[in-house]
Amino acid sequence: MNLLKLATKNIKHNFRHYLVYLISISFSVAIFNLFISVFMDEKVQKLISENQNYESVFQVSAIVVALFSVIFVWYSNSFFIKSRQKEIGLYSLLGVRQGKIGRMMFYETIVLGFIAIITGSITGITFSKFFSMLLLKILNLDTNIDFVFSIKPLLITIVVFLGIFIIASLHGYSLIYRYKLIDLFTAGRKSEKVKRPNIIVALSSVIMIGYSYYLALSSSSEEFIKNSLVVMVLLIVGTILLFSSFFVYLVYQLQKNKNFYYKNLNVFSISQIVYRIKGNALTLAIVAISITMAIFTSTFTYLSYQNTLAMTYLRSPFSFVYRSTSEEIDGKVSEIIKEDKKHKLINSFEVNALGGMMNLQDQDRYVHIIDETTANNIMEHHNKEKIRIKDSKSIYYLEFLKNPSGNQYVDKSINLLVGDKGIENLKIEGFYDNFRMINEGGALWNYVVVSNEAYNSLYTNEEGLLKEYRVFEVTNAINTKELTEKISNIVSEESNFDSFYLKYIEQFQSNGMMLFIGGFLAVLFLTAMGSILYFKQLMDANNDHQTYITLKKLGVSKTIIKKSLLKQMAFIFIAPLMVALVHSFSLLKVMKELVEVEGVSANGYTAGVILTFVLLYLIYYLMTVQSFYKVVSQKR
Amino acid sequence: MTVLEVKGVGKVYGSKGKTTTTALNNISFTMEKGEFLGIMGPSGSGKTTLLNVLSTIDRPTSGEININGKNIVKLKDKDMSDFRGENLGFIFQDYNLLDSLTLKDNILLPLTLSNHHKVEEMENRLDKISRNLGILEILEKYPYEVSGGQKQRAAAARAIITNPKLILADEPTGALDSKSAKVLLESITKLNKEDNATILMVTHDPFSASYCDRVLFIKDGDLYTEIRTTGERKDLYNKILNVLSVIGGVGNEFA
Repeated sequence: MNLLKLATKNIKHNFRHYLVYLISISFSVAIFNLFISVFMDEKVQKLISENQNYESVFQVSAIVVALFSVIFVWYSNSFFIKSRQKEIGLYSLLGVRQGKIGRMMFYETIVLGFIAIITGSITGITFSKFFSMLLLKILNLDTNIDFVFSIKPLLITIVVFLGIFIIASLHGYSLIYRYKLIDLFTAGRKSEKVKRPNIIVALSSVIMIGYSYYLALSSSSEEFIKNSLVVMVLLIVGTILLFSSFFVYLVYQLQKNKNFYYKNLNVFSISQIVYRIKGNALTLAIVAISITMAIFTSTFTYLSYQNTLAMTYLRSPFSFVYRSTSEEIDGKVSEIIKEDKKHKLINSFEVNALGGMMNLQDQDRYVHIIDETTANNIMEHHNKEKIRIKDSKSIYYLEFLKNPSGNQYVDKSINLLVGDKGIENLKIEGFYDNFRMINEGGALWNYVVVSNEAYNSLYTNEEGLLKEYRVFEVTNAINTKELTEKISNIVSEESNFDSFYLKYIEQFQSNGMMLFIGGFLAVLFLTAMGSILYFKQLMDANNDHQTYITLKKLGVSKTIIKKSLLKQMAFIFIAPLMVALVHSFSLLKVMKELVEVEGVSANGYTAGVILTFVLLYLIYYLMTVQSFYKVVSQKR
Repeated sequence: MTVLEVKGVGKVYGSKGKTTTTALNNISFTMEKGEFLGIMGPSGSGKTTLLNVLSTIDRPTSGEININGKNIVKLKDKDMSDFRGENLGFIFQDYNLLDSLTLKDNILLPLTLSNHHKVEEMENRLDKISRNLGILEILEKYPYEVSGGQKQRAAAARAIITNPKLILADEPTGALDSKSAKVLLESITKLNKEDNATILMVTHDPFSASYCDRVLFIKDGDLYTEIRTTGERKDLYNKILNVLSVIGGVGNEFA
């Protein structure tokens, strides 16, 4: 019998055994295909082609999904081969050469890979339209999608996964050479004494986590960005130690309570839990951190998405702004706005700004310089307090970013320079942060408001230094698609035309896309984590088979065994979830500080996300208990 | 007092319409309290099947098995586990100790399941039994840290800690070297004599069987014969060898 035949026969006869493996690799094919298909959908493609940013966002996330697939297939494959060590050992014992077994495993992986590519692609294509619609819905676009089958995503999927499966097969092939016969037979039977954890290490994990919470919660948003690396490292190391040390320590403390310990099957359950945590500590910590990240990212993207309007107002406070290049154009633009029936003109300004340099605390900063009158016209429009410039030597300094420590600038003296003119020893009278005078077509500027007198002395009409902005505010700015198009057709290329509508749509779409990708990746990672936990437990189940047979022989009933399994698995699935929830609550508080959104709450969404994760892990939990029980109770 | 009563027990493998195999034909015997009974027979004679039906792991297709007056054949699956835990103690060839537990916890395991023993009482029993079996010093060790003989003595301790009505031992010396086997058999005999424990031991080893009060021989699913000790182990040993040479099985190593 040739090897290919033996391999296909193996699959046929042990189909149930292969099913779990097949499902998981099909899943990763399906996810990849789905993701590619969604973004290669005609409408989505059109959107992506309009903006370079989208293209790179899409490419990066496609690579993340592909990378995930590689890791996941690799993991599944290693588990699969490990779970078959005995079978491989038997072949060796029967005198089949390692090379031959290796080749057989290679063929098997390839055959299974082919099946997975077919089933995965079909699943991916089937669901991709649904996800495309979801994305378009998030982006507020027309969700009517024809079910058109496109070959390109399928081809990409096939090429990528053929590559992955060939690598995985080679890995499987090489694994055979690394095993020794004795290892193959006693695989998983080795028992090592579980060392009692050191109380200092156990406690240090809690201290590390606590300190990272403290750092995160007590620091201002500016400090937080500085501290975030420390917070992350402390949190991650703390979480790993929490699982490898603290929980084990806690469970050992339970042993000391003899009345509890020597009751029911607790003697056994507790020792198994210690075993489980020890063997899975790193995985559990990774799961806990992944869930935390997923909750954090999805809440963040949702907040940004919901907050698009407020953010756009901040960045583009006026409906239209452009730099005047000729009076003829200015006339035409005013005409168009006046004639438009849908939108009424509320306000318009001519804002002249001088591009200059401010020397503050020995640092040169590029600034826009405007006079007091113009500034106060705009302040009035924004319903803000007027800027009061006391004399020709005093100025106001306005930064566009948040800067809580900016008040230190007050009373500092500065020099201003525009071209070859300059004024020395001006005093900062007041400071605003997080503020924008007018929309910016290109780069963002910090502003210096000076007295009219000082402005005049700095004034120049030199090309490039004097910037004459035309600013308009109309009603219903969010729907000015047509008006925006009309104006942008008239104004010249160099006029840095900016419209509230354009900024809003751009922001909304990119936030929407981030929301979609963030949610997609979060669910993807958590599903993968759940599957990995499931695999690991099933591996243990195979090794524990004898143990449970013994328990049965000793007269332990099915109900008690199931109860014990429920307890053991609860630790595996629920502990990381709980840890992640506690982590998230502290981090979410920080995020509120960071994003600072008024009137927008992500609580409902976050609760929904958490609920989804809880449900997902609950399903995995029960499924694992069921499968575990099936494995240990089956007769051999 | 009769502890075990086996009446016309038969076991047929295979379902209707297919070829069937008769593992046990029509076996009947009784055991009194405090008796140490050996069951011998060549491979395929039905020893293991008999032990399985006695230990409620398998059900006979015909006949009746009364343990302490209760017919276990009629027990429901759910009640069987409880019955097993309360009335039977097991010693297996491959020890079946749980690797993740210390010997102490392994031995106490059956007691913890029944839920109505105080910790203090558990520890008293443990102390007494492990002293008798000579494993007091290694109680805190894990199974993989001790020798096969010590493991088997721990398994014996686990079997008797619940004061079972009947102890079933399946080739307990099968995996032991001759010295450890001797120590174990002496320990079991001590349990039998001093604690009046009722022990049924399946073995193919004539030396092990020579420790018994009475030995039953099974051949092709039927009871072939039985012999009793005269008090002299050497004497019983020779008788066993004689029977075995007739029914087959282990040859006469002393000849």
